[in-house]
Amino acid sequence: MDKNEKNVMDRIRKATDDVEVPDRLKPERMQEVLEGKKPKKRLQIYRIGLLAAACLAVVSGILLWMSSKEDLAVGINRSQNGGKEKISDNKQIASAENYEQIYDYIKEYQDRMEIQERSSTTYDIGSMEMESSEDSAATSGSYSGDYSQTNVRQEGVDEGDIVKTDGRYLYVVEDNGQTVDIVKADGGNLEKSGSIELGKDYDIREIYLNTEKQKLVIVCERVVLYNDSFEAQTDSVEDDYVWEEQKTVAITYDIQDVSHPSEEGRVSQSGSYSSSRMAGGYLYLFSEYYVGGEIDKVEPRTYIPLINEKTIEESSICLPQIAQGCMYEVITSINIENPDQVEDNKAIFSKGGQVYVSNHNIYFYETEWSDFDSSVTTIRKISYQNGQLEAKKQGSFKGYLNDSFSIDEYDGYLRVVTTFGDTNAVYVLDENLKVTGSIEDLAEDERIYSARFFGDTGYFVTFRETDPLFSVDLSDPENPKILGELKIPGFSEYLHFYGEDRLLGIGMSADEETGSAENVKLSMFDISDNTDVKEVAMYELEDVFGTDVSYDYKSVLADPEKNLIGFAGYTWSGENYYLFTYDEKDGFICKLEEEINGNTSRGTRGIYIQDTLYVIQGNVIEAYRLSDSEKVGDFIL
Amino acid sequence: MQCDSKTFAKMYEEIYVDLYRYALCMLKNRHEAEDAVSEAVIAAYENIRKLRKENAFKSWIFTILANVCKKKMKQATKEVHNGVESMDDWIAAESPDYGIGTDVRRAFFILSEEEQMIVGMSVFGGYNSKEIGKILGMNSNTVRSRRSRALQKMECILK
Repeated sequence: MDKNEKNVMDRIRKATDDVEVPDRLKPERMQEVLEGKKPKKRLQIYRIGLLAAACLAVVSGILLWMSSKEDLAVGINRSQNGGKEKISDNKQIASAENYEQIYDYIKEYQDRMEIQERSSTTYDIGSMEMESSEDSAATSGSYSGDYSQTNVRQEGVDEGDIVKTDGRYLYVVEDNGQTVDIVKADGGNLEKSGSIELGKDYDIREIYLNTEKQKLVIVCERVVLYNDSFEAQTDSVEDDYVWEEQKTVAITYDIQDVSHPSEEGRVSQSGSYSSSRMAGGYLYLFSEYYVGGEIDKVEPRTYIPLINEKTIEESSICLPQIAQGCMYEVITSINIENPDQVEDNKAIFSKGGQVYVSNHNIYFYETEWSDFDSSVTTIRKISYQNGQLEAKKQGSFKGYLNDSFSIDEYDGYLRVVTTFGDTNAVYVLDENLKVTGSIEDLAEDERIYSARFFGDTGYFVTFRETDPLFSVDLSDPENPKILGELKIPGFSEYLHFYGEDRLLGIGMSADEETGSAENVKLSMFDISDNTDVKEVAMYELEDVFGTDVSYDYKSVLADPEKNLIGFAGYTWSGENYYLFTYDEKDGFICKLEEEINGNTSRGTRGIYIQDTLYVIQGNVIEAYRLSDSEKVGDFIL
Repeated sequence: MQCDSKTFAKMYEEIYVDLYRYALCMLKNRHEAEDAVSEAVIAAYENIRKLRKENAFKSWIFTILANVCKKKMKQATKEVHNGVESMDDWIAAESPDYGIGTDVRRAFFILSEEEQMIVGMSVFGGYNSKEIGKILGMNSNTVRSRRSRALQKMECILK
């Protein structure tokens, strides 16, 4: 840590130095309180991963808090937004002419920051959602064979995950982030068949599996150390390097022989991992490159993102619509048959946004938080057919998106449900991202918790004390209409179409008086008549106070054909995996409730292959027979 | 481990200030932080048998506190959205109930959740990048560069 960093830490510490701890928390007082309590006698299995569990809790804790922070950010920015130019003010996406122009943008930003620092105003925090909450999932995915696949936002567009299967093997990212193991599933007789090991400077974020081409792609982050002549250092000998940079790397392996996966090529790009997709044999890789350090006009690599150590061409860089910037979203496409080079690339100046990828286009959306009722979300559309990236249009709408389930392309139109100030709205935008129709001022004092689009109909949940589930008719792009509104207690944070005319909601029950969230609950809605949606079944999980489902749709196993609904939930004694089936007569039936024995901050996955469920958390795989929920095997990586 | 209230209080004495500060930075409210620490300590005491080694006490109780904070933040989110606390209350930055200075509070706001965690654990947990890396399942290099970026951002606010 350098002196400057130590300084900041000291300042934070100092700022809290004179914080007085309330008397009630003083050790003597606490001891008195504890004397009245008794340690519990019940012996529980010591969980290996206390530390990791801690951290997991922190992650999800902060995440939950993020949404309130957004509100705060809105407040904070109130003071400084007058008359500021906005990204959203323009319709076209402009390309840079030369590096110098870009240099000026960044310099302008950095100078401005200094002024801001002095006058101690805060700066735009942009839209800060957790990476995993940024995009959202689809209907029942593309299934081939009797095994589950990653729950994705858009059918036909694959997404990376920490666990994948081809129906025979499980491919699992180990908790250390450096190893991918290939484990033969065999109905629970788990056996390691092969593995891929990366060095200590790697952190594997997600993997992709292409069963047809027998390839595995690892998407990871890597810290690269540079010396003063901009040469990447292979050995991390601390003395020799001048600065370090975060890279996002995609490494493709041939896995025809699972016991000996062989690397076929890799692509590295500047910045930390933001997101990725795979469609039509191409990987689309998104990273966020923050120009933090000193910039030098004659040395473009101090301010231009690199791909495979070469600076991106100026024509690929989309300039911001305002004369300043400090962060790029770097987008590359990689043909996995040709995995050591990029097919195409783009870099967009942004302040941090999220990605929604439809079957034709990449939509990069970012919200400029400003005055309480004037936040604006800018969308930039980039088409991506066969790896060719083409910047198309830019548009905007009022408010912010809850997650990528709130934005959906269908039949050339883009539909969004947004929260704007203390109301909500539906917008329909045409191919040129011009708003053609809207419904505004919906559900006052509430915000959107979840959304899902199906063809011409959209469903979304807002919440205050009860959960209105709205259905909206989008068949006429110029004239969207609210069809119905169902009020029930609690709210759904995730919606999933579940067979014919059924919509599954996973969310929280709530105290009807105060509106405060209580337990995780499941709802099944009958959407056969979308003007009159009904809740036909409900199940509340007592003492389960949270689940990753609300922000990580990939943690959901939802398969209407197999009739399985699975996810992990937090209880006071730890994390459990739950598996449900749904019956028209009897509603939700809990088939399995088992303590999860792994540990990781990366999330829990439930995957089935034929008649076996595999619950994977960190380095522990546990197998259960679906027919009777008996545990049939486990394996520690 | 076996442990009576006296032994527990002794272990607690060494870390309670950091626990409170951590809770305060996460929850940004004096009373909430007080409740969180108290709740976490009681839960820790009741479950002390699950702790195998005394030297893991600190990270263990931090775990529990983080869990409690999580629950409270979730409630707070819902309450805000339900208008229990109005937007204006939140904006009124000088409100003494936050318990920490406006600048530090704001400096935390601009961080991503991961960055907050890294900074919080560095400052209040006193963990180094290796330990945090172990906790977060990241390599220590990554922790270092993320922390560096986070602190740079905070520096802008704190100046």
